[in-house]
Amino acid sequence: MSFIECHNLSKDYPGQSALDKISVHLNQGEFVALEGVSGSGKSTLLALIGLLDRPTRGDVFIDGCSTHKLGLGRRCRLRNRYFGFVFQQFHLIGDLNVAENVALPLRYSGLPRHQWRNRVMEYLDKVGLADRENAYPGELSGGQQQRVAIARALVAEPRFLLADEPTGNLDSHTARQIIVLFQTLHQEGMGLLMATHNPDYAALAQRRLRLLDGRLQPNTP
Amino acid sequence: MTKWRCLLRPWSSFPLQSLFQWIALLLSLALLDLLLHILLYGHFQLPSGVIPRAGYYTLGAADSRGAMTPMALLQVQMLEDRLGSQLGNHSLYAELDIQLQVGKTPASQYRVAVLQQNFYHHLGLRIHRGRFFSSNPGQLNQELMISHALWNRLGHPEDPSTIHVRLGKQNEWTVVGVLPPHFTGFGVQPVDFWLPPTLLPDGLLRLNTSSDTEPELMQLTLRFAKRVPYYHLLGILENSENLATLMQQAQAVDLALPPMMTSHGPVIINGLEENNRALLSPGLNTSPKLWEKTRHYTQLLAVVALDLLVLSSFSLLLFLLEQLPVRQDEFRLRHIFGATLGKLGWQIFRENLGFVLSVLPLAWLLSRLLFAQLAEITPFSHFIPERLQPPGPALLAWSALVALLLAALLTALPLWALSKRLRPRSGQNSADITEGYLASLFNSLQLTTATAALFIALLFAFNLYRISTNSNKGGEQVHLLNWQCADEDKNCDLLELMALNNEQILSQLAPGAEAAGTGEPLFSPLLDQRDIRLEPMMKTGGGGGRYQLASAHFDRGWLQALNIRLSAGRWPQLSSEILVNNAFLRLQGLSADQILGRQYRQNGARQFTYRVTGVLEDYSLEDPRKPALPRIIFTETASSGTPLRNEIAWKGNMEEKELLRRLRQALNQQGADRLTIRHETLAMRVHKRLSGEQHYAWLIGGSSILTLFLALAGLYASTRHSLKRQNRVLGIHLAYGAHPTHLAVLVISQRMLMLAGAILVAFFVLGMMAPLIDNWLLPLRPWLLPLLAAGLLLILTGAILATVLALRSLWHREPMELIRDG
Repeated sequence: MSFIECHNLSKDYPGQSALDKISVHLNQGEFVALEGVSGSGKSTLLALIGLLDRPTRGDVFIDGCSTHKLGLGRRCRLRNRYFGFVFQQFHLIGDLNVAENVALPLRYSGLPRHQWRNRVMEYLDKVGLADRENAYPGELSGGQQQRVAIARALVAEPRFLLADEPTGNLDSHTARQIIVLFQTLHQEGMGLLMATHNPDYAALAQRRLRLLDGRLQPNTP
Repeated sequence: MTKWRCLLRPWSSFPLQSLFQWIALLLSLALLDLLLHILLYGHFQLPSGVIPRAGYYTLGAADSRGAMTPMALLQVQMLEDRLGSQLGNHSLYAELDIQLQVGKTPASQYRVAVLQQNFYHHLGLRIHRGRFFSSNPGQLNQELMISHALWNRLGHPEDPSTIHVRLGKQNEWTVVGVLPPHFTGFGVQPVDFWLPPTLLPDGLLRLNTSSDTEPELMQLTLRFAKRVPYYHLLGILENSENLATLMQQAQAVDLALPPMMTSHGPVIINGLEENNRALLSPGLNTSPKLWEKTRHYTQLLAVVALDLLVLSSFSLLLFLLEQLPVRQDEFRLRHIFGATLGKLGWQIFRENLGFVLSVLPLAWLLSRLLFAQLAEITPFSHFIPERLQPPGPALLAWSALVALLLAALLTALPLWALSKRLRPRSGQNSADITEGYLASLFNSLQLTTATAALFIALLFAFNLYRISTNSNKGGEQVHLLNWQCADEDKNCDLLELMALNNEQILSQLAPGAEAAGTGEPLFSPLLDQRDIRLEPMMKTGGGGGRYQLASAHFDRGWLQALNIRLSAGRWPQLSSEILVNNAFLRLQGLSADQILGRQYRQNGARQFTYRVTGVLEDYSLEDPRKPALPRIIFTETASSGTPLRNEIAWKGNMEEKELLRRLRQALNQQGADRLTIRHETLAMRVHKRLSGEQHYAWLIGGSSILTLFLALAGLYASTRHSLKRQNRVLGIHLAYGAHPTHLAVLVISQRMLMLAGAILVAFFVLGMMAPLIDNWLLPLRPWLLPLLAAGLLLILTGAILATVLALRSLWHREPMELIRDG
């Protein structure tokens, strides 16, 4: 059984349909690229899979469990333990410094507070920013901010990383560094679903999914 | 129509919140209007140069027991000669009954008060209609003033000068003014007329006993002297320091009178011969310090009205700020298509003006209704007219100006915030942050005021409850029966009828009953408060010295009827036995066991040695609103004479009808069949006496609840504004596994920090306001902490509720939605 299974997922917004009957599965430790032009529904699909939003129809199964009728608390716990999110705009909290931003998921993970610092430093070290723990997001470059966001996504040790165009706001050099980082993470066993419209980066994935107007393209495996 | 709809849209989009804001503005404007009317028709009507004083003193003579009695006129003249300027503003005061012919009715007895120099005027008492009589003796025009009650009985003519008052055949007096309702003078019996002493025939007040006095005038003088045993000097109380000096000097004046015998009999009648020194009492116990109370309540009303206006304006501003992010797109589009900032401001101004104008007529009407209520109750009834003049163009102009100013004020801030939002460089984030700070600041001020107001309201409410329960001992079972002269019976002499044999009446009322007694009316004017020098007898030990003590004369049955119990010892049986109350014990620093059996000598006189046999529980006899004074209680047997009474307190199960029947029978047997009997229960009397307090408690309580609601609505609005500003951050928290409860705790803790600051400031404000609420604080001191805790609990619960209500959307929104909206 796959780690994540989506059955006929649809999402409607007033006056338009963002996704239409999407069925897809993702395996544990798999690196999957989600391709499509702007407005094709990539972000919506990522949000539905990561339980950041609710589908209008259909269901997402995680580890074989339906999430359709899950209570609010259970959904929050699943988000914290199973998924790490990386956004195109980084979405760091400006009032918090790097270490505090990274520690955000730990607040809700149940990890004892005295272990937070070690864990934060471990992941900041992994993304190469151990020396910037006290800096504020405004003091960092775009690439550094995205690396902080990746550390934040990883710190609670989720089973799957969901990245929504993580290189969209970065220059090509920095973008390549981020992709290399993702490859390393994948090699360490992390599952990855990365939305991108860059075919070069998508080519690095084990599997590619293509979305067009809210539907999966037929040639998608 | 489209234009109107356009103006209404901002309000109709949020109907509930708009309605709440509308009601809040209505009430605050009504109270402000009320305050303005009280100032305009009350305080500002006082002539220039007149500074209303806090109260007055009474200067009388002292008898050998140290009790204040009225003075003979010669004694008054001696005092005036000796003390001169020390007396300050003062007036001879005497009450007498005179046969007068009023209008075309036959001549009959009227109660007249004689006083000088516009005394009431100087106290700050405002005349109801007409003017005061002339104070300049050189311009004397035979003028006098009439009571409101009598003026009403005479058909309340618009022009009081049409009432003709005649003394004898020659002297016709002109009524120039009507005193305010419910003001009946300082004595026991209501006064019908007030007149200057100079108006009476010259010989009447001079007690001219020289041999060349005409026999007729001498006869009249003597008759008058017998009729006027009560001369006091009423002086305006400047300050307590002056009063102490005056008191010392007054006591040094020898008031001993030479023999005053004439061929027609003694001039100085019994009861006055032994007076040889003056005694001063701070105010007559009968009369509340009206002016002080009026000023006090006006200040409170001003605080409440201004507080509500500021709060409701803040609340409206918060409401408008909260709407701004929602309406931003509309304004941005209009701006893009050419609308200048001025045009946008004009639109907001018109919306606000419409809102304020819709409130004004009802606010004006409400204030009139409240004004009519206030004109009926203390402490404003003596001070403001019963009816207001219809509104003139000036009022309309003022209203329009207020509406324009308020609308402009409500426009300025949203317009400024809008200009920040529309500015391309500063951007929305900066506008959000500034608005957030402003909203928090306004809300903190609201919370501060609400906390202070709520605490004051609790004090009022609890004090009222305490008074009602404490003064209501015996409840409905205590019947108070008093007999009065019938209104139409002008020949009735109340003083004579008060001297009826009460014991006989009681024995006829309920033979053998123990639970009935006679007594002075509750909170009686006859209760005497005086400075008694008490010396302890050496063999009984204990401290002594000079105490400011009140004494009272009661019989045991009366005290028992009111359920005033002994907390230790026994009831006195001998004339040398007295009771003390618990306040006395506290003053002496003694326990009940230590005081029992202790002997005290009053003023060093051996014949006035008293032994304490019991301790009476504390009970405020003179005014339920005040704490009990340290008091010595002389029972009937210890009293030097039988005080005049016209009331019986009765506790028992007898039917009211039967009780009245028996009393009528008893009165008839004593030849008092002309008297009318009035009956009320103790509960009714207390209720009546507290009606002013109740009205105010309602006003303060209601406005503080409104204040609290406004503050909570403000908290709701500012939390919503803060949430809208923090959408993205909250969404991120949710995305990484936060439960909405975590976020609620986060936001509530931020809000509570603000609340804690507001509460601290509120306590500081309360400390500053302590003098204003000291009257209520004093008897409630033991309850302050529980009241404080209750107030805090209430405001905390309200604040958490308002914040949770504002946060409820968190439970229904998905993280992605929040991140997108942010």
